[in-house]
Amino acid sequence: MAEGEPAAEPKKVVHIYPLVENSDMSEDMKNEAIELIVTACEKYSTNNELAASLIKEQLDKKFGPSWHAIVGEGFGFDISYECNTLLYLFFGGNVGICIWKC
Amino acid sequence: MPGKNEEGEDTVAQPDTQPSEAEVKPKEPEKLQLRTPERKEILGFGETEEDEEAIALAKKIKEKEEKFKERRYKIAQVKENTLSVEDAIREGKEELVIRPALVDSVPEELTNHQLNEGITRSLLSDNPYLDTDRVIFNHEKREFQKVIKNSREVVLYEIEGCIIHSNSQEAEVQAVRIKREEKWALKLAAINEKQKRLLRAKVDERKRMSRKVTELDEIGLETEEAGEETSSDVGEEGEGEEGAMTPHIDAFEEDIPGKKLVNRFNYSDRSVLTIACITRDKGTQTAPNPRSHVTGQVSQWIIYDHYQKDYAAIQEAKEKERQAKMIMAVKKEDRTIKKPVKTEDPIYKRMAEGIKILERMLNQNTYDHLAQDCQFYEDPGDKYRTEEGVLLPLWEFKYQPTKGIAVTQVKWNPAYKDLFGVTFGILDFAENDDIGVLSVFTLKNPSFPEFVKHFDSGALCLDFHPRKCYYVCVGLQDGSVAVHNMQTPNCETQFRSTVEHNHRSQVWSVLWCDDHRDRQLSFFSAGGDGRICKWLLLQNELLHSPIITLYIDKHELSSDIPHLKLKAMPTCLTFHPKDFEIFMVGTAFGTIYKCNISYASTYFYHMKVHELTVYRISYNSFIPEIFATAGGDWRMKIWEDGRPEPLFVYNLDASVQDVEWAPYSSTVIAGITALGRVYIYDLNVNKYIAACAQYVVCADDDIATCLTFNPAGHKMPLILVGDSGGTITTLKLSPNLRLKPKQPRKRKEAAVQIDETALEISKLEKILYHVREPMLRKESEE
Repeated sequence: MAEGEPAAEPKKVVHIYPLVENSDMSEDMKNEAIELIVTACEKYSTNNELAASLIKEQLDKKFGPSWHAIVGEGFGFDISYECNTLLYLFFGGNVGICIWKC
Repeated sequence: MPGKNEEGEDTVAQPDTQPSEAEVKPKEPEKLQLRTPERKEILGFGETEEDEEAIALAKKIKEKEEKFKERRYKIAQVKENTLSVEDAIREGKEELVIRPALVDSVPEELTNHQLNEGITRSLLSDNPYLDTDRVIFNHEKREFQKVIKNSREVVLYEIEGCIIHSNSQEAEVQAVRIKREEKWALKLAAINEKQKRLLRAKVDERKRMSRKVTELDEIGLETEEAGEETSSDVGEEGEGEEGAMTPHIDAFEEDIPGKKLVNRFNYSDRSVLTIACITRDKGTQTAPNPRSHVTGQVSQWIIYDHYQKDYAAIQEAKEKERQAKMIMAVKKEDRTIKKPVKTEDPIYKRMAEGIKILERMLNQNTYDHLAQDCQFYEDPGDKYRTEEGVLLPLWEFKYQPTKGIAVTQVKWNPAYKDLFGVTFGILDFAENDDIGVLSVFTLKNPSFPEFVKHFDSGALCLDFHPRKCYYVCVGLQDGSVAVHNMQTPNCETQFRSTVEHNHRSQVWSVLWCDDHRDRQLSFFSAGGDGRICKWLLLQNELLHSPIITLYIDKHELSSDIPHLKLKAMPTCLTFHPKDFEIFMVGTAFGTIYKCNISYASTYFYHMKVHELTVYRISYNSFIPEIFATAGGDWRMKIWEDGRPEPLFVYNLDASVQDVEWAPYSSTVIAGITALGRVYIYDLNVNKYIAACAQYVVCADDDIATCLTFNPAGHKMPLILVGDSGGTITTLKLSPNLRLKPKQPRKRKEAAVQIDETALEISKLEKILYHVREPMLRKESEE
């Protein structure tokens, strides 16, 4: 485990890639949604509210209504959703995003 | 007679009631008076003289009645004596009838006069049999008491009449009541009218109106109460009518005369009725989409942890991959190291032999059916096809490392008829050309080559030495030539040309030279730089001696280029089958050169034979003056040495990659096109139509590159076809493609067999004669 020591150093590195935590979407849909979320979050990196509304609108347009989106640095959720429409991911190292349809 | 008593009562009662009805006095106490002598009272409305007479008459009647009674009593006594007690009981007289003493049982004696006396009978309204002197024993007083009641009437049915005598008091009372009722009706009508008027008044007057209404209601109530009082005075009969009058509207309606009253209980107006549509609601519900539930929590710590976990997983995967790579590398190194060590080992050598035998055995089992076909199968269909034959595909040779690398040349070993060598090289020179393989296959082992030699450059041609068949020379793409000895364990390279003598371009063709003047073995090579070189195999080196350099003729180029000698680009080299000094070279410009090894600076002639590259020149194996060329301009031509015009031209619809005369017949020639189609012509059978035209390359994008006949001829009628995919296909010629020339009859009779070679020659000569004739004629005419 000589590799363990250098691995300890880059702990300071902030990971900003989108990390999917939970999803039951189909692969195509998921990729599209992730792309959409990434663009929205990058566009409104300081305003989560606008990002969420953008995500929601675009999802509604692409996959039909009615989508819900949460963007935030700290929140909890307890939701019921239509199967195969949930995507819960982290992005930018400090933002959690949850989208679902219901 | 006592039985009739009761009936008599009934008859009495009826006349009583009838007059009561007439006088509207049904329950009058005078009823009793009807039977009493005070009948006067009844009759005595007006006390007239007639009445007095009537009374007198009545008295007479009464007297008679009394007499009659007495007599009847006597008769009754007699009869009762005869009657038993039971009878009396049966007749309902058991109770209080006092029977007369039985002493007086002797019947009264009547005189004749008495008997003859007529008795007048008359119907009376009273009951003559009624007991008037009935007694009851009073236990208290201990004596009989007379029953006062003298009527035993029973009321069975009673009804009040609807007619009143107009002069009666009742009628008067009624008249008074009606008058009062009329007054009330008028009052109520007035009230109703007022109410209606008020209802029509405006909204702001409602309050006042309502007050008035209440007042009016009070008035109404008062009147009603008054009505009730009066009705109670009048009697029971008035109440029913009053009850009906209490609702105001009813009273109002009843007041209007001549109006048709409406039956309020079963009323309908036809004109209004239509069929009412019945509306119904119907609905369905779809199943809801499946849903599920999820919970989660987001915070900076959670996000950080997840990222860390994911990053660690990625790192781990990377590490694994790296380790796997390292292991692979180690393994590779191991292999490369181990291999030479083992091969040098004598034990390994022996084992290799054993394994080789085993391999042969396995292949023999696996490919037994192909071997059988090769040896014995003759297509029975050829009996029915007169001018056609087929090719039967047998083994397919593949060498895994050369998959996708083109077969550049295939050559049979001259000594071992089942052995052939193949060179692999990439024909597309734009690509990396560092792969070249020489492999020697045997038909006995189609799965793996007997010898393999890898080169660092593409191998383009090879040749086996005709006598020392274990020597193989190879021409490479980098311009070098190499000689291998198959007798050495690994088919080691014995000689390889050095850089200073190398060709400056690809070596397109190599050929062993059977020059017995040389003490050493020697071979020729034709390179892309226009040079033809001779190589001598010395003790430990390869001696290079240039023979000739071929230039393009000036006339072929435009006159603008002054004194520039352009080198031709040889692509193929062929020796004359009889004269080892003479050879022929084909070039990429479509020309052929006939040269002699003894004269380095000059050549016999050169000739433009094709518009594009000449891929191959093949001498006829029986008549060396006849040769064939294959060109990239889709044509295959047959020439006669020294004749500028081709004898035959075949257009094969694709670039002709290779051509070869059959070793067994003077008239059979085979060509192969890039599309993978083999054309075999038997000039003796048909000069114009191919005896066989068959696709032999499987893959669509692969092109065929070379073709060769097995030199064994009739013993092994096989051809090999190589393609750009690295596959060599073995094909067996069907009997129609290898016909032997017939012995002439005359000779047969003489039983002298002519040599087959001579027959073959004569066969071709015969054909040539027909072709030459018109040409000669033409020449003579000119």
